[in-house]
Amino acid sequence: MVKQILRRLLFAVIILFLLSIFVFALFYIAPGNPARLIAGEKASQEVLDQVTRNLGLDKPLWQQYIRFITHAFQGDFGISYRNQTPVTELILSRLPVTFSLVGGAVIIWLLIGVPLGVVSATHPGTWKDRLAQVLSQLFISFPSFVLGMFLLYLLYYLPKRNGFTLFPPGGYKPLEDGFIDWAWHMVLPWLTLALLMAALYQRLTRAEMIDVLGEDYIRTARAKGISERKVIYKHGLRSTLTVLTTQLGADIGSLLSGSIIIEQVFGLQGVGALAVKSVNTQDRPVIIGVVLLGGFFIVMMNLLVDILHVALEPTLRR
Amino acid sequence: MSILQVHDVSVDLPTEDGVVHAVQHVSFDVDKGEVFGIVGESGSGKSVLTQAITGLMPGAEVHGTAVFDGVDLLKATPRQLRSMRGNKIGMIFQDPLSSLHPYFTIGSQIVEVIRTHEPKTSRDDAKARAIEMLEMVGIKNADKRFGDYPHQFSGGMRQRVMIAMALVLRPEIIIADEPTTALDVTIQKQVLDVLRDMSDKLGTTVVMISHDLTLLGSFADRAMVMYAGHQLEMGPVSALFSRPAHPYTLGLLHSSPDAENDRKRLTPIEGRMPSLLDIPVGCVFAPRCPNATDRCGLTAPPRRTLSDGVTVSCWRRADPTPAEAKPEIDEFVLQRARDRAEEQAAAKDAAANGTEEWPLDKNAPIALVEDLHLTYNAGTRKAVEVLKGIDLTVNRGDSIGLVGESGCGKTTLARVIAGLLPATSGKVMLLGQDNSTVSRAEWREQRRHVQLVFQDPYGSLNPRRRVGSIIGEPIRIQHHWSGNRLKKRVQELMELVGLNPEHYNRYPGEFSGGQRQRIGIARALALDPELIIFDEPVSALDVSIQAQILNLIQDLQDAFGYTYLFISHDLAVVRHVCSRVVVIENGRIVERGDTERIYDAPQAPFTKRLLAASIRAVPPESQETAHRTLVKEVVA
Repeated sequence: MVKQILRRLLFAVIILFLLSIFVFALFYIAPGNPARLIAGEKASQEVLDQVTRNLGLDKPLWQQYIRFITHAFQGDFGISYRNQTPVTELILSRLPVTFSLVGGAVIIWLLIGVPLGVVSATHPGTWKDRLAQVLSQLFISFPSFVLGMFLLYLLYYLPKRNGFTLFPPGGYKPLEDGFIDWAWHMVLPWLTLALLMAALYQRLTRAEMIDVLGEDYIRTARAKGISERKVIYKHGLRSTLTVLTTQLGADIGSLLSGSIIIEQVFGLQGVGALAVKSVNTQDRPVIIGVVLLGGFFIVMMNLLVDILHVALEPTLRR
Repeated sequence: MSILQVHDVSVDLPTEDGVVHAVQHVSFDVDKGEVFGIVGESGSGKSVLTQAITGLMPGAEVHGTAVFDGVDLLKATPRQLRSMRGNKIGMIFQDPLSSLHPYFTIGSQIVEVIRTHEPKTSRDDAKARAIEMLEMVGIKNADKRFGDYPHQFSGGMRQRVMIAMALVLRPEIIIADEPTTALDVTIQKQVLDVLRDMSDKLGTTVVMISHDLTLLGSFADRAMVMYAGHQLEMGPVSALFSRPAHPYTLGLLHSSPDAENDRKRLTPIEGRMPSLLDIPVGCVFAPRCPNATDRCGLTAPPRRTLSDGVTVSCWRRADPTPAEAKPEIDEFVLQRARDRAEEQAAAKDAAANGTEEWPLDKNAPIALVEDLHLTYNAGTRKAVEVLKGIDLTVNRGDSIGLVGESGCGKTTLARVIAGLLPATSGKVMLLGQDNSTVSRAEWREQRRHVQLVFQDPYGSLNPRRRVGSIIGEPIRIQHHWSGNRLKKRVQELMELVGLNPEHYNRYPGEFSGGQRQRIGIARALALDPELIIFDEPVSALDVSIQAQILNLIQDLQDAFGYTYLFISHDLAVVRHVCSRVVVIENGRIVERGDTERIYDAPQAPFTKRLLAASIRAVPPESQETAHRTLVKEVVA
């Protein structure tokens, strides 16, 4: 087990390493001169050369990369071209926002999606199933910004026009400043993200549960005289956890590396917003930092899921 | 005293295609302490019946009464039924691996039964009772194994766990639905012994469902024969065996190959089970019945009670006569065989003229295996040695049976011989060429002469391709035939194996299991191979259909002289088809020889064990049965 984890960790490092080469090369090929952006349109050639030298952009690409990677191993991902802040510091300052968004939304979407999927699967073809199916179809087809705007209109603008503030339109209040205020500000982004994801999880849970409920051991459970509730939630749902956690790991991993559109709609300064801004301004160190962070999250979540599977599935244990 | 009285029960299952009349007007009583058997082929309604009366078929419409313990189960609330299931009615199912929850320990699954029905029992008490029960059914070190998961047990042990789970609350009755079908012969016997032993010790009534009439013969006291949802005959098993009153019961007995008897042609029940979507006008068995008269097809038969306790639904008052087995091989098959002999003679002439068709040594043995070893994951910690030094010669015209229990390596051996798996070490010669050194072209050539027929007639045919294209594919690949020439050959093959050539354009889904196996055989015959490997070709088929396929397999060999390698776990089937038998245990050949010799005088202890387990005591005829009279007749 430990050996397996170590191997996966080594694997993760290699993936991140390859990813860094790829991103580095990509931005070298891409058009645009970061030095020009920093120095400004009207800067003279001398100033431009000076900036280029300061950034180390005059050196050959491989030398730039070597410098980057040796620093990266010491936790130094360089300094942002735009505001002269270390990339690490910049990203770390954005992480609480992204974590708040994803963490809260995960809980909500699991609480909505999984039970709805179970209800669908246990009453296939009935109005309950149909309703749940229609709702999930509806939310799956919503683009996230449309849903965000819609919720803003419904839960912020309409009450506001009638003279009271139900929920704020966005912005982020740190958790340290009070749980209520933090959660109150996050409700709309959470709902937006959670409703979209809940729709996917409803479908996944439904499909999995229908399969599991057809298994022989479910018949055995019923033959034992266990209550239907226990049959479904203890014996049935237990078997779907493997698939649910796999999906959850992948989803959390990719959302942590930035849910760009939702952050934009609600004015959240998270990792996604940072990514957009750094791409617009050709802030290469920040872009590389954000991409590697994303890769790191995905690889780590997959590792976590694998470890979880061993815990969940006795057949995988030695 | 009867413990379960089932009266006039019908079960309808609404499906997308219409209402399936799974069970129709079935009545029977089960006496306290007896073993009552329900026998029938797949689709007979035997499982549906028991699951419907215990409330395990939520979608079904059930009519009639089923009184157990003073309560009509069919009128009981789901809550009442639930409190009886597991507590007063225990159940055991067919496949012990899929019937136990893979993610919970066996201990917790047994404790769950106890604590569901007796919530006041403490965890420790429940655990102690579970362990005691596990020991009773023969699980060694039960206290240590309490925390193990189902996958850590072998098939037989898992079924013992299921039995322990069903019996832990000492139910008055247990329903065992094909409890041994998924197990090896020797394990089957052990599990049946445990079940019988428990039933004797605890006085539990057993309702045992099986497709195997001979198995019930040695196990049950009374039995009911079901066919297409109808109850055809019921009575003491001794009467069912010695003097079957219904032509179907007789047909079942005659169509099952027998481990104790010589090879003779089986008498299959011709035709197939009718669709359950329609309610038959007359007798449901009439279309397949050799004794049927006009009346049988028009009016449902009366239910007659005989003095020895047998009830039978049949118009015929005299004992049924067995169907005439078609003694000779179909003329079409013989004609094809003669044609082929001519073709081969012509090919030989051509070869003499220097235009050799294939560069194979015609005089070498078909297959020659020397000191064959095969290890999966060789060289790693997970290495599993499957074949441990096999020597085997397959000569032209042989029909060799490979017999052994699951996991003994018989299928692996066949795949190595066919050239589909490389051997780890040792020599495998196929048609005079060493399998390890053949070139790609030679390997391709070999495919023409070695064909396989697989066990599962459902999984081994591509459901999205037409039958004509499935059967014709080998010819298309090897000979590049197409158009009418191909179609003509394929239709010929279809006729050869007893399929209607007009069904050329149908999909596998439109055929029954037996017909699909015929498709598999036609595909194997397409290239006129030297060697045909049958991998459990009839294990997935019902008895009456199995007989049809076995006869076909034999006829083809008699007519064409094919060489067969026949893999089976069923000694009766092997005895029937093969002239030589090779017994494999644990990757080694433990005994080989002529079929008669092995069955009459087995030498190896393993062979003896296998044979002992497969021989079933047939109950003798009783006096009452010999002199029985008609007691009453109830019009349907």
